[in-house]
Amino acid sequence: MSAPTVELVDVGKRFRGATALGGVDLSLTPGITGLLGPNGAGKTTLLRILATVLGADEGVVRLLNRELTTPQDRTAVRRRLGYLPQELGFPRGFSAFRFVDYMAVLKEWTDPPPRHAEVRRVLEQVDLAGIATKRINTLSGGQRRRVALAQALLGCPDLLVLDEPTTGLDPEQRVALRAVLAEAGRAATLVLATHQTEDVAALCDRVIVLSSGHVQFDGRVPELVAAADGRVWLADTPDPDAQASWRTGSGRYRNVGQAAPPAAEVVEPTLEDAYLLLRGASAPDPIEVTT
Amino acid sequence: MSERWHVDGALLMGWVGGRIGPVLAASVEQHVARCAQCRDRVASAANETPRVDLPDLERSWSAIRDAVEVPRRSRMERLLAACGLPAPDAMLAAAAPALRGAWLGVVTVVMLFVAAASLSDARASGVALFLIIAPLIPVAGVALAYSVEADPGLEQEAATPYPKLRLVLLRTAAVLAVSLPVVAVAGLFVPARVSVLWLLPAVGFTAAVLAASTWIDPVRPAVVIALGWVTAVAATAERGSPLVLLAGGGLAVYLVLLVLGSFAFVLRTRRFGALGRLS
Repeated sequence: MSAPTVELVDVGKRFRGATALGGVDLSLTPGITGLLGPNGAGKTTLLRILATVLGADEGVVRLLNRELTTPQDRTAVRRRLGYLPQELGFPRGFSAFRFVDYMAVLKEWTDPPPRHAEVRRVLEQVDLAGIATKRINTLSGGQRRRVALAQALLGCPDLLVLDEPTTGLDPEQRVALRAVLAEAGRAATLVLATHQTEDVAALCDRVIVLSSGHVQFDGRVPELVAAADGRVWLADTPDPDAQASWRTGSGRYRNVGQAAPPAAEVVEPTLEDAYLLLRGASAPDPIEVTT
Repeated sequence: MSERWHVDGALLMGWVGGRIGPVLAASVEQHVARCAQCRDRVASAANETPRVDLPDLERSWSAIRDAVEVPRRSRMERLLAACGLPAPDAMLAAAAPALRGAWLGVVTVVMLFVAAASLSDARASGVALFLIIAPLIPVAGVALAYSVEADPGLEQEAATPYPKLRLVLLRTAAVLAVSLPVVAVAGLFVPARVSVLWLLPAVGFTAAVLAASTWIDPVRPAVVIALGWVTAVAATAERGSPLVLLAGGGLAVYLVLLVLGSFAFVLRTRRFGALGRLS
């Protein structure tokens, strides 16, 4: 097993007295880790700490074998880091090429010929080479997201921190992007936060579920899915004892709960089912039943 | 089968070097294929022929793509580069929000208005107006240069290895370099003492904003300073003596702000390596 590239020991972060993260212990190796959790669970705070733009108030953060205690440590980590924030600002009037070129300068690619070659490489990787000269404000939301991702891929970083990389993408773009991320995650440690459980199921070796700033689950995707075995069933009506229930395309109701009733038609759980069960176990209020 | 004739030396060299026409080349090629003696001479001719360097197609293609894809540098970027800033630094400085939008236009219009007021019958009001606005222009420009609120791009910039202190100072210098000359020209229309001394509160306030920005977004301290300054100038103007703000105790306050602000900013930025709201 490879040595950990990301190690967090009892990490905490507070904002104006409110706990955003508390007692987080993590140890990640190269591969793709998905971060799930509801809004406000602390995903973005955790990613910002991993991206070195936010300091932890408590605990130890060790990235790429460096503890982040001095500016030199942070700079050394940033040289091997790619970060896609949740909200990315683009300087006004910039084309896709110019923006990624600008970010490449910030990543110390000062020599223009290799820098431009690298910019082209990452734009091709996210399938934007054909519209590299277009101004970003004329691009669609999905194209902008891919421009943002392109800058994170500059220099083939060893640590990739991506906050909702597939937001705004249509299904075809998402599948294409999964291929890019899968390739990037072969050698690097890739941590991605998302609300799309299918992205996690399709891409990630490991999943971490955050709830109210704490790690609620940390393990392999099949382990989380296995926890929902026998707890998902189909019925002709919504089951009042189910934790969540919704009408499927076939007209029948998919129920997710603590235990399927006797003689129920139990079906194979998905990661989404398992996530809902896990959330339901910790949520103060039952998950809203949608019919 | 032995050939009755052989390709002469000059022709063979021309064929090997690709310098003869296609018809003649085809004829030579046909002969060489049949004549063992000429084939032997081809090898030695090839060694004697100076090597022709084919153009590096990849490099040429990159140059063509550069010409199409690499955008022309902005006017501000060219101006900063002409002032001696290295091209990458000029690119980073010119991307600051305060240098991209209508910042310079707004500053120019405001200062024209102030200069006109200083020349009008309401000269005293014009001087007070200059005193209110002039020191706040660099403060506003610097706050906008790296406010997370004004420039959400700062979050991804903060995750890069480029030194943050250098980036902020670069942008601060660029904002000051384009703003101060406009304000200085407007200063020609106010009393000599005001036209010079306004620089002290300007740099003192700027240093205070820079220092505060290591804890909070720089727009907030800039707004607090602006409100305080407007109130102070208005109050002293009411008593007919706004220039008291550019004397004795006032000047000492600006100097203290400059020294302490600069010290705190450098210390905090080196220590934390992040700016504004994110820190």
